[in-house]
Amino acid sequence: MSIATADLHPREIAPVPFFRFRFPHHLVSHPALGRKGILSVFRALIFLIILVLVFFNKNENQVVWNLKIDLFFGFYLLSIIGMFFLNPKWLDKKYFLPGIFMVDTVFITLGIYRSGMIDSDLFLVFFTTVFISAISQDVKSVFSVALVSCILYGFLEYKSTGEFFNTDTNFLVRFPFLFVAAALSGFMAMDTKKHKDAHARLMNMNQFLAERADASTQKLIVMNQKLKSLLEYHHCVLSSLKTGVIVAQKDGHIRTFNAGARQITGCVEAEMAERTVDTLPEELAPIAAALKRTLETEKSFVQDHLDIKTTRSEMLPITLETSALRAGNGELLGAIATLKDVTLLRQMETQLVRSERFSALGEMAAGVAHEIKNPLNAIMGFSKRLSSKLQEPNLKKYAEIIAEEVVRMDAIVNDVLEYSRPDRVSKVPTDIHAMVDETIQFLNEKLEKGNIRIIKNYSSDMPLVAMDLPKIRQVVLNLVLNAVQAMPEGGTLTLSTGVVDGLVVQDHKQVEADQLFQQLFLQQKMGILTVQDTGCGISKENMSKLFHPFFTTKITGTGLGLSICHKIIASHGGTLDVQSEPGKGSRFSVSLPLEDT
Amino acid sequence: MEKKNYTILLAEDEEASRFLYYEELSEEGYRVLTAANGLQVLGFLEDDKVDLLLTDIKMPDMHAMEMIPIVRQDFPDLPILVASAFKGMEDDFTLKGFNISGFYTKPVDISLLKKRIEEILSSRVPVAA
Repeated sequence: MSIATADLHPREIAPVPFFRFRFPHHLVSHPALGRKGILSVFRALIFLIILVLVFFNKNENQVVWNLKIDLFFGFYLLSIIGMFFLNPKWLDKKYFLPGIFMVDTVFITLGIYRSGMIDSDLFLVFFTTVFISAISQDVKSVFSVALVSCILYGFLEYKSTGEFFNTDTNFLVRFPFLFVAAALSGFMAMDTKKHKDAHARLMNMNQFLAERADASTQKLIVMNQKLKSLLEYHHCVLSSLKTGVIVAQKDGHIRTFNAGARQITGCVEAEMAERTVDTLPEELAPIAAALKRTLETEKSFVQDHLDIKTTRSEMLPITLETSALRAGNGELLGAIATLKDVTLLRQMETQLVRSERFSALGEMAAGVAHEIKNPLNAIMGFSKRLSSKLQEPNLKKYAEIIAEEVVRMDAIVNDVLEYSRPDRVSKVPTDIHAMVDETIQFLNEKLEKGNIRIIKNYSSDMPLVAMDLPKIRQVVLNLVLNAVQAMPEGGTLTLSTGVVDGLVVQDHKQVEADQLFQQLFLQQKMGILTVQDTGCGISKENMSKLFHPFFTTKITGTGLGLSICHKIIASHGGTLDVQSEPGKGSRFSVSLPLEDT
Repeated sequence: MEKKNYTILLAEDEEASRFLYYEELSEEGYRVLTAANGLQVLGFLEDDKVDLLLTDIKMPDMHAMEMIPIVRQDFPDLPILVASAFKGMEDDFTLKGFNISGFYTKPVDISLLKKRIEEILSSRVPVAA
């Protein structure tokens, strides 16, 4: 695409200011006619005039047949004809045109001489030559033509009258007039030439500028494209960031509010674009304050534990960092705030703290349990002896109760020791169906007595699952027993197996640290076993405490069962999940990685 | 089997438990010697004729792991029963080489223990004889 040029058509060149008439440039520059054409025409005209005057005008002074002159006439005719076939380039050769004009002048002189009408108005033909010599566009050559014409004409005069100067005013006037004509046409030609040159220069300049402008435009277009794609790229980067980025200019105007910020705060970018640091929504007050502080002090700030209210009316924990936005030369342009959603991190921190606390607790508990084992030994032994030796029924009963309670204590101690034991797990690929069947078989009596119907929903091509058999059996036992205890009036126990890609979806809010870990970093095929009952279900409040140690809803129970199960499963790299509806029943889902990781 | 001909050496640092085993085993008819620490065990073994050693895993002066190898040096086929601190000790490799006749977990199931002792001793001739 080129810039449209104001075509400076020759026609539009302003007329010569001094003289109120126009030199017919258009004829001179006309491609068809051109200078060559005009020259030829005029010369032909001259020839014709002279010819007519010489041959058709009977005059007493007429010179008779002269071979030299006639030869010259012939030569002149040839030159006219020759001109038609001439290469226009010749016209620009330095002495060509002046040469032609000399020839013309000589021809006219000879013609006049031949016709014998020296004194006549034939002189005017010289004027023609002078005029057309203006085509040469050179004052010097025009004057030379005039001069030569005068000299030749004077010569003719001399030849005919014997005097150089005829005092006849008529005659005398002719010379100056010739020169005036020469001057006129010469200067006009010069002017034309100047105009033509100027025009040519203008056209050249025009062309040059047009090309330059074109080139510049092209460059601009390319640069624009590059800029656009760069802008787009940067925009994509900002939009794809999960981190929220909010930039405030020095004047407080909010310049950037990316998709990440919208994700975190719920505020829409389009709205934020109109605002300033002072007019940000109230929920973002801490962010606004931090931005303002950075704008004022030009310092960076970090706020690690910040909770902001989102448009979804929830409090979201974030990390807020503000830094000064500087130009290359260090000048402050604004302030940048980055927001990171640290919900996951917070949860993991909480879990970590909790597990560390439990760990310490567990260690202590283990120590205590160990110590208790010894006195327990003696108490249990002697209470049994007592109960066997005492005859008196009441006393016997007392001793029995002591023994029973000691057994209970022992169970608690064992559970505590189990819970605090390190997570050493030795996995073996196992047929999970067989294992579950065995366990059910073990509990057969209890299930029958409890009026519990068993449904087995085993997957048809269940692969082997890597597991520490006794530990997982303990888990299954625990879950089934829990289910049985949830259905005191009887019910249905459904056991299902299957395979999933990735991890079981969490339905409840509580997320354990290790489960979180699995969610974030491991995606693998898992084998799932679900134990579903039609019992009383678990209430919402209890759900969150379910896996906590020492939490139990049973009258007799250590409260460690589920937390031990959870521990065992976690050390396998799996997850233990629960869904429940009070009154309808509960479903516990155990997922274990198929491969030994 | 004449139980009174058999001598059982009992090693247990807890007094109450020690008394318990003494009562139970004496009731069975065995002759029971009680030691409260490893040194006493070794002393008894030197001076007396012992048919079976019943020991706790840890003594105030030495661990069963230290005591058993010493005992085995002089008494390679003396039946030894060890009180294990937790289930799974049977699989502990450190004691595997010493031919332990059995492990019993605390709190001990006395009837089971008595049965096991009878099993072991009935197939042996009392040392004192």
